[in-house]
Amino acid sequence: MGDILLSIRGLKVYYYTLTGPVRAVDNVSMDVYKGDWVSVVGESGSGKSTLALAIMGLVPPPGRVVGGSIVLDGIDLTRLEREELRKIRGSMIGMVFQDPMTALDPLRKVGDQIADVYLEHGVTDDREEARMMAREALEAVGVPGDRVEYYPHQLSGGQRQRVLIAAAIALKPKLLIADEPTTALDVIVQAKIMDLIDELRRKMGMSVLLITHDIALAAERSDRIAVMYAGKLVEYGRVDEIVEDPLHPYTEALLASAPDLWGPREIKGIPGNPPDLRDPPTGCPFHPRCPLAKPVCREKEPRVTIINGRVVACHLHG
Amino acid sequence: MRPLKALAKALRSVAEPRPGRGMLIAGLSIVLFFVFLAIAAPWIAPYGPRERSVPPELAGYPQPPSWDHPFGTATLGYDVLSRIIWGSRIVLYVVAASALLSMAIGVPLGLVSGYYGGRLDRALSMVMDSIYAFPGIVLAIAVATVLGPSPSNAAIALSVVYVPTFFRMVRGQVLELREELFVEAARALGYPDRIIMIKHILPNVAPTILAVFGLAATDAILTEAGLAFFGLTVSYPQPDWGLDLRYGLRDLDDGVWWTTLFPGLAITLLALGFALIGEGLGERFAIRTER
Repeated sequence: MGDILLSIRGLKVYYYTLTGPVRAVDNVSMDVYKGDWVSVVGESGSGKSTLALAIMGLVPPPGRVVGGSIVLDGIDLTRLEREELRKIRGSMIGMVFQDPMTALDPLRKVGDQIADVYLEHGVTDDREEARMMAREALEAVGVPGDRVEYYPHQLSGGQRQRVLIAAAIALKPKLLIADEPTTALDVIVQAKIMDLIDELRRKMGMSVLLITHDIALAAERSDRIAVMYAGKLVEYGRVDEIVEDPLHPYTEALLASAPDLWGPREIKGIPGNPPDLRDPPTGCPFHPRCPLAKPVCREKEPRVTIINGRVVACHLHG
Repeated sequence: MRPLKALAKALRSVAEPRPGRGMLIAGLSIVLFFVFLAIAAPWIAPYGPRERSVPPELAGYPQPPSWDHPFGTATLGYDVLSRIIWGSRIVLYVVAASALLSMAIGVPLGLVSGYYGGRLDRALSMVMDSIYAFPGIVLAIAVATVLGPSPSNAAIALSVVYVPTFFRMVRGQVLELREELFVEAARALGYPDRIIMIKHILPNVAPTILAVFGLAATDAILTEAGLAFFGLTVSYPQPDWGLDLRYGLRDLDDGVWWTTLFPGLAITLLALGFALIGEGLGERFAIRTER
């Protein structure tokens, strides 16, 4: 299956609020292989975005990485100095955000915003040369080169997201993190942006970590899917296995709740709400909403087990 | 040539049919008029500021406005109009210097304080709030008294008063801006904080800074007049509107109104000019200015 690019072990990210620590990411371990597309799916508040920010070293206060390691290409990012981590952002890891409408500086031409990446990371000192490179980068993501002179408000949402992708991959990072990159866009544009990310991944051999709440979207594109619930990784595996034979009841419920154009009109939700992460339920965090919950689910937290090469944390398995 | 071009561009953009146009044009006209007076004083003032403009036998008696002396004359035969023209030099110098100085201190502090937050922010905010708690004129008089009377010291005293104004407005904006996604995106691209502050946050705060500049300058004119009144800028008979007001005050009982009215009008008009600029900018950029 190739080499491991990113290896997360026992990662814990807590937000220290006045009413107690919020365990946004709690003991998460997973590997991302080189060139793989991994999607992290889960509801709002499942900790998937915090996971992405932790990899970037951008967890906002009062949040903190309190344990575990994030090893990228042999470097433990959690042990780096601020300054070293800063240089890795943008060069080794690129990130694309949810809302392309506000992720660009409204007062700077988009060409300059891409050129900044080359200048700040010391690829070149010459502003004109950086502008030329920005132009090429724009063309590489399917935006006409003359758009370098445009301000963000003159571009459409899809074009802005392309600009952001161009900036994020300008330095050919090994990992591209995309946090809900198409949520703010319409479906057609969404598909095009996903195609673009896929194309760039193949061309540059980078890995993609897609954060999304849309398991249908994830199923379409990914090599692997990681399912998060209440800050914990509940299932992780190859996309075909996850979609065709989900092991965790939560994964199953997520798949069942995805709207199907040819299926029944009614959308099946998951009853109940995600737990309060300041005071998570005992045992398995999903047990209050789980249709298959047994007494043991309330008492003991399920261990992450590996069955036939598949990763799952559930008392029904193991 | 380039600064001239930039100036022309800025003036053209003022005249664009956008909110605040009328106020900006009116305010700029007033302020530029006084700037012109200050620069051209040697050529347009009918008399020197300390020149006796009437025959010696009339010098002891202020003369009412006439064709020769449109604003009348003051004790010792000084021409009031000429003193207002010459006096604009000191006033504009003190006001511009103090507004620039307080901007140069308040803006970077507000930027850093708002961006980093934490203990530094709390400490700076506390210092600024304590300064802010004093009435401006009282604080300015206190500082100017300690420093000693001179136009430059008056400018320093005034800038102490207005540093917190710039600090608070800039800090407040930065607190909002640092949560913006484009700032987060800039961090994700690995830019250092310094670059994010200068390239991405500062330009977005610039309209606010300009508006606060107008409002601080407005207040500074009135406070400067106060300092001058108490002799903390120049000493008589050097011309300064506030100081002339004080010396004119003694004549009021004798029915001599022109030695106070005209310097007072000049103060009010210039303050109005800066206020219009500040309010016009506020309207154009939809800035909520707290004072």
